[in-house]
Amino acid sequence: MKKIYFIIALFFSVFFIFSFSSAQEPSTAKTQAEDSLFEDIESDYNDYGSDFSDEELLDDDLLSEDISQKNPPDKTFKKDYDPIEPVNRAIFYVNDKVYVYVFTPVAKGYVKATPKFARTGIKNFFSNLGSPLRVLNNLFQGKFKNAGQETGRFFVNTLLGFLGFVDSASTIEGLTPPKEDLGQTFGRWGIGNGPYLVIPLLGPSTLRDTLGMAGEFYINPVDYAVDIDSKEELIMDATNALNSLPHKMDLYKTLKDSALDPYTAAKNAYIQLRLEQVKK
Amino acid sequence: MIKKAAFLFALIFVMATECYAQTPLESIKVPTENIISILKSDKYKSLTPELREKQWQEIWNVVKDNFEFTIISRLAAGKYWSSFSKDEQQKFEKLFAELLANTYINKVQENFKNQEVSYIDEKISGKKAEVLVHVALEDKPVPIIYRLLNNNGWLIYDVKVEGMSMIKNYRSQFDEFLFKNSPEKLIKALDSKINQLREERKKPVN
Repeated sequence: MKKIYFIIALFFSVFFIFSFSSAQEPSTAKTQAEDSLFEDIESDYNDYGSDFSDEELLDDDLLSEDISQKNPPDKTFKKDYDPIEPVNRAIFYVNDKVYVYVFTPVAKGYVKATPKFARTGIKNFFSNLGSPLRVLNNLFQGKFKNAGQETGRFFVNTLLGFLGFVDSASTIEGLTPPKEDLGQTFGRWGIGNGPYLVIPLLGPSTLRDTLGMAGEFYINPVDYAVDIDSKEELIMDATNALNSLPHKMDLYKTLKDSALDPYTAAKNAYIQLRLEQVKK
Repeated sequence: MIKKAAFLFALIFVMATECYAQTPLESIKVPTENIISILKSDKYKSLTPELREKQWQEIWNVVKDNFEFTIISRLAAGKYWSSFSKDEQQKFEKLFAELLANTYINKVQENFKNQEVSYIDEKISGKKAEVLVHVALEDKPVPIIYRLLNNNGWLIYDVKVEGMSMIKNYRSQFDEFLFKNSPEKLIKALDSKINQLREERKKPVN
């Protein structure tokens, strides 16, 4: 099982380096072209009764506490980098059919068959299992205070929350740090998204985040601490996936209903969300 | 006598302006509470399609005056805005407002289960402001940031949910669309999407 992940990681690493060395130039050229277009419009602003440019309206974060993070270079304006769009669109199309005709009915059946407290408990349990990995990612990013909070959270929930089934820590102030993962760690280290990818069944990702996901299989402390065979691991993963399915399908439906072009909407939403998570 | 009248007049004037000059946070809170009371109202206990349409209309009447749809449309159309004719700009503004209304009011009608809304913070910077609201969904609060402009009262021009700007998201879609198609085609596409959403509202809520 693990060998497969390794091969995937290796494949993507090569692709990553390749695309990064070749792809950056056209995207900056496009950026400049778009910038000059924005300038053209700027002269017309007063006609529309606004004293602000589009950037000022959409990129300034007034509520952001940290001044140093106040104006990060936000590139969500520019087209999100998607060099293999036809392939992504094809996978997105297949995923959509699977979501609508398989996952959504399964999720509905699951919700009918299980009581809410069980679903919440299972969700909490798996979330708590992810805690050690999040501690590690906090440490990688130099967020020592958050690492401490995440550690505290893990102990509170494991010891007082019946092995994590009850999220007791969420009621304690200062024990709810933002969730970190390896993709965010890479982002913090200055690695950009790279090309946008749609993963079969899983959905939106980027090369960086896919590498992060693959890497987490290797560094997860829980895997080293608990000895279970691959069959048991598979059952655990499947349970987790099924349990999180209803929420994910709801989100997907909302996105699809609100969008004129669901593919582009999902891509932009994913990239905006990740940018925000890396910033935090 | 005149003094008294002048005093009264001044008092009324001060009170009137005080009512009018809402802070950004209040201009989010007042309509939101209003909408929640419409959603909770007894007359909409059993949502037949007709009642649902009526409730929808009532919510829309509250919502529509709180958004700055001209700025919203311009931001969403992005760099292509100037390639729209005046007539297309007006049509687009009207239809985009309808698209947003038909999408999100539908969602609120389907999913409102008396979630708690807390009004956390506001920041004003000149004629711009942001208001932070938490909506308690499931177990954790979802942060929503309203961005407002002061144009004779605070009006919303963007909403960020979990850090995602809605207008940026639509902008990316329109950008993609207008790269290949004309504004006229976009207007047609919006129109058919709105009709699709209207049809959906006629189905019973499960």
